[in-house]
Amino acid sequence: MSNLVKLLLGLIVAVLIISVSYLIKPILFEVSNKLMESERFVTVRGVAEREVMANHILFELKVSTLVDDIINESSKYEQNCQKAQAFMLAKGIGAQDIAMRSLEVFTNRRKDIPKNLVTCNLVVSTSKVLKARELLSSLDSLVKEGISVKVYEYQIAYGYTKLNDIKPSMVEEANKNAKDAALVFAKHSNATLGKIKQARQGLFSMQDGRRPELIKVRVVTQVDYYLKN
Amino acid sequence: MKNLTFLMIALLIASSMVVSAFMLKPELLVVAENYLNNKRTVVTKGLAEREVKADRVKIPLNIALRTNNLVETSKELADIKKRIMFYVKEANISESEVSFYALNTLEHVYEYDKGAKYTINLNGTIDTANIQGANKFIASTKAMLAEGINLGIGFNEVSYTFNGLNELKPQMIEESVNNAYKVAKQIAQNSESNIGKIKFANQGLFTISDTLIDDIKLVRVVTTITYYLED
Repeated sequence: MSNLVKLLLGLIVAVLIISVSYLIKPILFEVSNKLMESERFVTVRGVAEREVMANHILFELKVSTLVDDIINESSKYEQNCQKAQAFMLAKGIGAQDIAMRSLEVFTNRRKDIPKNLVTCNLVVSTSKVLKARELLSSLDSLVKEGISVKVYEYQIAYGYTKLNDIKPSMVEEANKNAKDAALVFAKHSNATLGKIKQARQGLFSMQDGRRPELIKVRVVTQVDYYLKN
Repeated sequence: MKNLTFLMIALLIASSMVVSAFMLKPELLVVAENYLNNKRTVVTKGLAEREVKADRVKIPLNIALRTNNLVETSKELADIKKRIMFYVKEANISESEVSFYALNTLEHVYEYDKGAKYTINLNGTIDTANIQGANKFIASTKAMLAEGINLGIGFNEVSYTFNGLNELKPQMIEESVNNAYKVAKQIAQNSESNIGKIKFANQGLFTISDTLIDDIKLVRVVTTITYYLED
């Protein structure tokens, strides 16, 4: 009796071994296919570009006055500085957006002009970009009054602070653009695109736009798509 | 009797192992072959190049006037602006595409810079998609110079750009893929095998570079493709 039980147990083990290998059969096949497929992918890049209106501007306006005597002729440069300030206010820049820095005095190296060049620095930091632009392009009306003003192009900083708002839709656009490129490869190989294996969002960059107040925002994404067929 | 039972059990298990080994043999062979085939590849590169017309141009406008009298010269400056606008219109460029973005009056405070007391510098740009108009405007700088207006456009300061890459992209990739395929096919022929599916492909970077002609740009991409080789 106990021998028969042992024999039966042996039989069960034998059957189990065979059925396990029977079960493993297709899985082995599948695993090797999957391993192969995991190495099949296409790397593509997609770009999204958008031109946005700057929502902040920062620049420095210098007002210079030539005077012989800094103390007795102080009204001269003070007047010029005030005129420039009044001009800014008239152009719609709020008083709270204008900051005045300390005066600069330069002793002229030339003998045939007044001895000193006194410069007052007005720093404008405002969200009224269009009004500031208008101001900058009409600076010659200050010159017309005989006031020497300086705004250097490289010192005008345009800013855009809403990058986070446009980020998702731009990344989406770049990904779609990348997918279009991936489809070209798939078509060539009679394959279909599978899932995304890996995606890398590049850095957002800002460049000069078509007009000074426009900023070109750009992003490149790199996407690896699986190929299936 | 007891020994015989053990023997039989051992025999049963042993034979089941043999059977399963036979069952798994073809699959294991396929797996091994897959593995081997997976290593059999050919890597090729395909180039696509295209010359395109620039679709945007930026012309710097820099005016410098030396003067002793700011008030008088500012009137002259206004006249010069008007004349520039005249030529802008003449070239069919929209006025809104011209911006004057900065102005500075520089005092000449050094001995070596004697003569005029000030220099008024006005900076601006024309940024337009009208290439033809821009070229016409550039050609008219000669006439402006005759009127005494020097825009100070230096060598290589006019910048042409091409922005239509996205429309061009799919067809250029296709072209580069076809080129890569041709090479792969040649290699396969030499080794008496066939080209299979794409194993791996990399689109590569698109580059836009200058040509000898200002308003013509060269768009270029090199695609790398790894194909399976089949017998």
